[in-house]
Amino acid sequence: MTNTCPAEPPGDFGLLVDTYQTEILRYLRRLAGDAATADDLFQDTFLRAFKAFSQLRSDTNHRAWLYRIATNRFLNHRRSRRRGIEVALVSEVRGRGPSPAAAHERAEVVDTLRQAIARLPKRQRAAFIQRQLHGFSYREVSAVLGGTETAARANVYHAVRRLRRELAALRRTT
Amino acid sequence: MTCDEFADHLDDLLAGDGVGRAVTAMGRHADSCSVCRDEWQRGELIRRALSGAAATDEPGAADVCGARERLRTALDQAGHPPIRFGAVTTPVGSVFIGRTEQGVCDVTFGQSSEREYRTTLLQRAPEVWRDEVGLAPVAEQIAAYFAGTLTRFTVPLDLRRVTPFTARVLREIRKIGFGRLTSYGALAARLGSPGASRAVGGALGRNPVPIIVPCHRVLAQGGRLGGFTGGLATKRILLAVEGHQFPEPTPT
Repeated sequence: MTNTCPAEPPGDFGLLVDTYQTEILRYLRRLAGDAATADDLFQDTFLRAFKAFSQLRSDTNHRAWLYRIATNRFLNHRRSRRRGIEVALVSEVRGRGPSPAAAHERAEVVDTLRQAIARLPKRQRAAFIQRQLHGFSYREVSAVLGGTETAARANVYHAVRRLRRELAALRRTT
Repeated sequence: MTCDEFADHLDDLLAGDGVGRAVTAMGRHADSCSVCRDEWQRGELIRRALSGAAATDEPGAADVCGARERLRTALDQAGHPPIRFGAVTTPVGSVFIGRTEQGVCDVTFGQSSEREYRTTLLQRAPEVWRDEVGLAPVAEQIAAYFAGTLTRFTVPLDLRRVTPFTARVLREIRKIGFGRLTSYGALAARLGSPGASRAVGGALGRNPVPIIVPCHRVLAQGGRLGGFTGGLATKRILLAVEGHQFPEPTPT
């Protein structure tokens, strides 16, 4: 199905989805740690977004607004039966190291890190991922997560310290 | 630099905060402290593993398309299918027609522009686009109706948005043939609720597909014109097409 119409105010929801779908799916995969849960959250996010879309103020920052909905969906989501899929995903990791052995080691570190991230409290996980992988400022993190910039920063630092503790057993192997 | 200060700076680095010139002091400290050196190397490992983890989670084009397609289905099931629209010029002005995959879901007149119509549709549909070709069969039937060469519409309808009561009323109205007339009261009686002419009138007012579902064939008691959402002037024209003249009331 192609949409050949140019966008006109008050905005075409389809166009909004076109613009942000990849970014939001990427974000949700990082948050959820598995593709199937991320896909459920994606549906949930955009269904909710559609319901609020026509009442949105014209000066709304759509990107931040979508991140906020996606984050809330994630925070409210009850983790369930899908743990098994995470393992399957992790085994798909392809290292780009110089040798198969190095690639394997690298994949193991990535695996360990992913598991440690998955064990972070959800708000910390969201703040850390926004900051580290999506390049958000603390102001942006606080806008998406709710709360103050100080609280956003505290969440990121708690996550960092916890990851360092959890990964303390890792030895540098090269 | 103390080990505590070193650890704080390492946190800054891993949180994505710069440490400025302190990085030089960190280097010097790490040269002299094997524990902190290990910490630093582990930190580096975490940073590299992070980009590896990010790459693992990167959705491919097929993943995005799949998620988008499921969203389309979910929106459709929630009552928000995509809508294509077209327009046809008639004696009552521009008539805009919207349709879903299932059938015609909207007929609107009296809207000033395509832009305005599109805006109205965007309130309820996630995707709206003009599709003259797809709407041609409906537009042709409406044009033929005004030309007097078509007395019965055969286009499929999508009436999922109306309430069950309105749907019943609309089904009943579709049985009224070209040129035939009835009244709100008679219609209510046919629906088995003789006292409900007001409710029937309300249902007619919510007819999303006027002309095709001929609510203009329903008049008030005593053969008076009654009401019409699209305006009484339009109702007069539609009835004239079907051979009934209702002159404009002369001001007294």
